[in-house]
Amino acid sequence: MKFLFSALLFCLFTAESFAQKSEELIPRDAVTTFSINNINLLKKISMDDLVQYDFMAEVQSELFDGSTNDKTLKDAGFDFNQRINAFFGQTQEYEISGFTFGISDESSILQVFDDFDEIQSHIPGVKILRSELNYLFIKGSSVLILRVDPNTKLVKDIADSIWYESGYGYYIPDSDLNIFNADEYYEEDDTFEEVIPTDIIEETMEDSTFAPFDEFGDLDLLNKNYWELRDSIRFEYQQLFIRKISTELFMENRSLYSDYPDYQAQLNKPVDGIFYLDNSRNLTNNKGIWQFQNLFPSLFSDTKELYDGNIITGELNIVKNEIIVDIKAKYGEKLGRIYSDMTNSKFEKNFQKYIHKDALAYFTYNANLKNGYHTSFDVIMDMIRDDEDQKVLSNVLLAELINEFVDVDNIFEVYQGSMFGSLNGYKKIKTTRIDYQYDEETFEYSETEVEDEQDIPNFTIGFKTEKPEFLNRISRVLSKVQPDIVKHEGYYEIQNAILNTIPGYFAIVGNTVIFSVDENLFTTHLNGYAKSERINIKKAKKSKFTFVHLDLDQALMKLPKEVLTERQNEIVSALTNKSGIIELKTVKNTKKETSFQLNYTLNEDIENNGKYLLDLINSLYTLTKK
Amino acid sequence: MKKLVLFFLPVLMLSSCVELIDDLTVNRDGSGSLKLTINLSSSKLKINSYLALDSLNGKRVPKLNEITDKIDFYADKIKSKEGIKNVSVSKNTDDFIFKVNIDFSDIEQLEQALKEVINEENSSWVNFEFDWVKWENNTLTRNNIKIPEEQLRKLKAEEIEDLKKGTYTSITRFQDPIEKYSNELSKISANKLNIMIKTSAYGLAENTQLLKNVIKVGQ
Repeated sequence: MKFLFSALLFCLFTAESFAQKSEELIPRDAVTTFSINNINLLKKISMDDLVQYDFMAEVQSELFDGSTNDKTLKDAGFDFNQRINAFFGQTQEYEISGFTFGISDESSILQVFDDFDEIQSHIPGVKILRSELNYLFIKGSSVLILRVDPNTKLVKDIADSIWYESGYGYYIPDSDLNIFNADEYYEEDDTFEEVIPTDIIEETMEDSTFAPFDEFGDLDLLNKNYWELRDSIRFEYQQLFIRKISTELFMENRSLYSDYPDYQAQLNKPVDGIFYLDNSRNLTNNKGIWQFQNLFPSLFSDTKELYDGNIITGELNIVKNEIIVDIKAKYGEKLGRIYSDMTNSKFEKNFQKYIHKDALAYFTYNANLKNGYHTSFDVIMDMIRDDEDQKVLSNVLLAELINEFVDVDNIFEVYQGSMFGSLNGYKKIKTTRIDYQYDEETFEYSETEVEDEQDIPNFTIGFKTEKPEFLNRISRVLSKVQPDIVKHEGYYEIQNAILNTIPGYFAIVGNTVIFSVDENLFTTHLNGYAKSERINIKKAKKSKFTFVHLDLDQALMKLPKEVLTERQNEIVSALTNKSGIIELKTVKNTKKETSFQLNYTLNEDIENNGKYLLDLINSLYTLTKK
Repeated sequence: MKKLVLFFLPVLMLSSCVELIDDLTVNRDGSGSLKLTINLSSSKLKINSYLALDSLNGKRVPKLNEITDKIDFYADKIKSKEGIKNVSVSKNTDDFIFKVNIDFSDIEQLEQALKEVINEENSSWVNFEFDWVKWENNTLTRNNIKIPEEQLRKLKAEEIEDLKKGTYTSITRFQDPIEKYSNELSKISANKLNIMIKTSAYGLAENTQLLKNVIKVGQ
C-alpha cells in the first residue's frame, strides 16, 4: 500500500494532457477510482522543492533507488500527456489496487522501476514485470501497476483442506496468542515443524490449471509448514487472478472505462480531478456478506435491487484560495424514495442557541426518521413480502407484527432525527490518582489519593424531541433510583459518565435535549448563549439536511500538545501552517440524487496551487504512514 | 449517542504512567513472600479510553474482564507449582491497581515456579534463562528479569516515553539487619531490615544490571 501510495505521488508530477488513455487500463473490478486531470497544477514544482517533502524519502527509496540521479522527470521517461488514475476494488475472491499512467520512453521508465523483473508474458504486445506482489504491464505508451490480494478466507479454506487431507487434522492456532499479540505470533511462529508429504504438494501443483509465468523453479516444495503452504496457495491464486484480469483488459478489451458509462462520463468532465465510487457493486462484491448472500439468496437479490444505481461521484477543483469538492450520491428509484423522505425535514433553529460562535467545530443534521421509517417499511416490504424463502417470510411476519402493534410514531417523536454537536476547545478537569507513600523506618507503603488534572475536549451534543415531558419524567425517576444521576436546578449530572471518570450533564429545554461535559453551559446558559455569542446559522439553515464546519487551524492550534503522543504531534505539525476552514453542506436533495459540496477555504491566497496540493498530499502521507 | 461520545475520545489517550513495585520478603530459612503491585491509576483516563475501543492500531483491544481473567489465570498457574503456598490477587478496576501476593517455602522454588509459568506461555518478552535470586549463607543475590533487546527495539518512541515516566520500586526485606550490599543505588530503611532501589521502568528495561544486588545480612 505504502509502495502504491509513493508511486502514485511520483506519478502525480509527470503528466500534462491526454493524448492516450491510461484510464482504459483500469480493471473492470475497480469500484473506487481517483483521477488527476489537471497535472498542469504541478508544473511549477521544482525537484528541489519536491525532495523537501516527507513522502519523497519514501518515493526515492521505493522507486528510484538512486536510479534517477541527475535526471529530470522527463528524462525518466514519463509521458506528460496522460491522466494519472488510482483505483481500488474487491470481488468475492480478491481485492485489487493499483494505478495507471503514461510513458514516453520505455527504457527510461524501466530504469526507474528497476526493482521489477520481466517475466514471460502470455499476452502478445504486452510486457509484464513483477516485483514481489506488484505487477507492471506495459502496452504501448500506457502502464498499469496492479496488485491483487486473494481473499484470505478462500486461501485459508484451501490450505486447511490440504492440511487436513495430508493427515495433520484441523489447524487451530492458539486463540490467546491471537488476541494478545497476533503480529508477533504470525511473524515468529516456529512451532509447527510438520511437513506435508511431497506427493500431496506435487499432486496439488500438477492439478493446478494455472501457472502462467512458470515461477516455481526456485521454490522448495518439499518442506512446508502450514503457513508456507498457505503462502504457496496465495501465490497460486494471485497468479490465477492476475491472468484473469490481464486477459480481460488486454485481450478482451474490457475495462472499467469500457463497461461503465457513468465512469466514462465522470472522467470526461472538465475539472481538475474526479473520483468515482460504485456503491451498488461495493455491496454485491463485499466478501463480508457472503454468509448473508448464501443464507438468504433471494433477500440478497432484493437488496441488490435496492442499491441499483447507487453511485457516488466527486469533482475536484482548485480555485484561488479554495478547494471545492462537489459530491453527488445518485440513487435508484427505491433507495431515492427512502433518502428523499428521510431527509425531508425542517431545519431545527433551536440548535443555534447552543453552538457558540467560537466553536472550533460543529455540525447540524436534520432528518425525519419517522418518514424515513415508513417509506423504508413500504419499499422493503413490497420487495420481500412475496418472497418464497421461509426464513425471509418469518422475518416479514415479525416486522409486520412489530409495525402493527408497536407505536413507532411515538418512538420517533422521542428522537425525531435532528441533532447537533460542537467542539468548544479543551478544558482542564480534576481527577484523582493513587500514590504510594513510603515509611522511612520500614519501607512499608500506604495508598494515598491525590488530585490530578487532565485536559479533555469540551464538547456539547443535542437532539430534538417531540416528547420533552416524557423524557423529563424518565429523568426525574432515574435521578431518584440511580445514585449516579444527580438532579440540579434545571439540569442533571451523570457522575463518571464518560470513561468512568468524567461527569457529564444533560437538560431538556423546550424541545431540545442537551448533553455536555461543560457544567457552565447549564448553570449560566441553560436557555442558550446570548444572541451575540451564537453562531451565524444562515449556511446551516440553507443546507438543511447536514452542515459541518471545522476551523482546522484553530482546532489544531488549541490542541494541548502535552496530551498528545509524539506521533500525534508529528501529524499536527504536518497539518499546521496550511490549514483553513472546512465546510460541508447539502446543495440539493431529490429522489434521484443528493448533492453535497465541500469547501476548503485557505487562510490566505495561495499563489502556487500545486504547492498547496503537495502540502495536502504530505499531510495525507503523514496521516497514513505507519 | 455513544458513537458521538467516542468520536471525541482519541484526544483522551493521554501519555501513560505506570508504577511497579516488587516487594520481596526473605526469611532466615529461605521461605517468604513476594508482593507485586502494578499501579496505573494516573493513566486511568487513558486506559478507559482504550477499553472503550474495539481495536487500536489494527489490534483487538481486550475487554476488562479478559484482562482480569488473564491475571487470575496466571495466579492459578503459579498456585499449582511446587513450594508455592498461598496466592492472592487484588484487582481494583476503578483505579487500575493490581496486586499479587505469593507465599513460598523456598525462594528457589519461587524462581522455578515463575520460570515454568513464563516458559509455558512461550513468551518472547521475558528472558528468564538466568538465576534471578539466590539465598545462601545469609546472602541474597538478586538480578533483573531481562527484556530481550530485540523486543525493546520493537517499542515505539511514545511507548519508550511512557516507560521513562513510569517507576519501578524494588524492596527486599529480611528478618536480620543488613550488613553489606553491592548496588550503590540501594537505600536502607532506618531499622536496617529493608533495602530499596527506585528507578524508571525504562531504565530497568534498558540496563540489565540496575537491580543487581548482593545483600549480606547478619545473624
